[in-house]
Amino acid sequence: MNWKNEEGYRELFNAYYNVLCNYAFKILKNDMDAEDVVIEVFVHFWSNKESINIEEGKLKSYLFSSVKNKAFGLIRSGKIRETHEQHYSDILKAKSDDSSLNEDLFLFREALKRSVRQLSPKSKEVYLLRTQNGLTFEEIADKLGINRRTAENHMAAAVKKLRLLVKDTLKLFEQ
Amino acid sequence: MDIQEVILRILNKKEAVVEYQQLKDWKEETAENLKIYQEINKIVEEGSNIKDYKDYNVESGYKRFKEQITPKSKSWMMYAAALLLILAGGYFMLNKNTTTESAVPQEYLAETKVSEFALNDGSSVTLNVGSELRELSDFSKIRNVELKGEAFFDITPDKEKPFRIHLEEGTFVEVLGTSFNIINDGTNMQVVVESGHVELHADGKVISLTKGYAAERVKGSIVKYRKQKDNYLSWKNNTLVYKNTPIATVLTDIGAHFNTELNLSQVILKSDCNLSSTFETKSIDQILSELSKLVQLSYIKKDDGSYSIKDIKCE
Repeated sequence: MNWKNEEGYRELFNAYYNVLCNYAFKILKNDMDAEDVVIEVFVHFWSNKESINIEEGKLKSYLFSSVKNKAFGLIRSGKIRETHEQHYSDILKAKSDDSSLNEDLFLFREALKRSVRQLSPKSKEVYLLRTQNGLTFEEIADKLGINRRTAENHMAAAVKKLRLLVKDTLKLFEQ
Repeated sequence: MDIQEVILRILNKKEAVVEYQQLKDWKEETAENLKIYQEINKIVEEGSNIKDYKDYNVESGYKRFKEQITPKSKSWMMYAAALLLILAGGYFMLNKNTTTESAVPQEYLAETKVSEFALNDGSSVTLNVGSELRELSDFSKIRNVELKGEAFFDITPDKEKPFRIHLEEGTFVEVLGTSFNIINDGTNMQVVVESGHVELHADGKVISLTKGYAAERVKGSIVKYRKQKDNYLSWKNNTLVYKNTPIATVLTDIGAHFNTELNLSQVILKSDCNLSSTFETKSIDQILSELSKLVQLSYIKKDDGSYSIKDIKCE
């Protein structure tokens, strides 16, 4: 993928927009500021594409650190829509080995979220009832009118499929 | 081993013995590693819970991106943003990189809440609710603005281009770079200097004000005086600070800040209770409830929104 042409840049945008917004939100705690920062980064990249040269495989880190720097800059400037003083001072002081802003974990969550969407309808339903709603297999079986064993099988199938899907989706970001 | 590698190893369930051992070592290295391992591993054991992970609208994001990179629509975007600002109030950041292109004088209005605005010379203005600031020129020579209401200014120094704030007819404040508070609401006119040096031009005279000084129109003429550090910036900072202040003064001040009527009983007016405290100005109810704990203030809220302050006990 060559991100320096319009089509390639659109692909890059689609691949990274959501995960970068989640990343910015983790810092800023405000959706609108998060989206503003991410769009600003994309505008900056596009406007300076002639002068930006990124080593093979470094694009990902480049995007994440641009978002991080812009978000921290916004906090320092004080021109932020909401204030969460304690949270900001915590996050500005966070050590480099703190995983809360680890880009690979964010990509993992993004990949997982996308992969869940690709599950078969029954597997997806069971998977979401189990993980998002925290139902037991008995409750799921009751709700869907299937027996418990079937519910468990659906869950096992979902998890098995997810391993593959997540791995595939992560490849999107390997460039 | 980096996290990416860990994720892949956990996803590949059939790890070779060596890989499994490496993974085990890695997760036992630090508490943070263990946390990461567990989060990733949830997908294997019970399915990961990623409720906090949100879905943003990529399409509308891309649309906004397109609008911002299309040169033709740039000035339109800025205009729309300014218009939105006038309608809605709130924060607005001017992109400093575009200042040379955009020389259209702007208007700023804080309609419903205290709002801070960045002017394109890097200065910032915080407008109190209902206040309005209008740029009178494009800032290429003198930075001329007009203020109605109350505002706090933090002006970027520029010796070549003095900053002038026009108040009532024939009166203006000129600064080179400093911060100060101005009230000009048709009834009151007051300038308080927080830092640096400003000049008030009024009635054909020039009154020089430095840090800690204020000038105000009192019964037709301008009076300069030393400003006691009180809560004149409470509207901006959202804090009220008292140092050994009589309780009746504190209550009157709080009422004024929230524009709320507080009826003080004789007990309160005669009380020799002094207070040293800092309040965050979230709501009058919250401050009064804090006060009721601090000095056993008793009060009732009436249907018309006013308060009747009855009694106090302080040690």
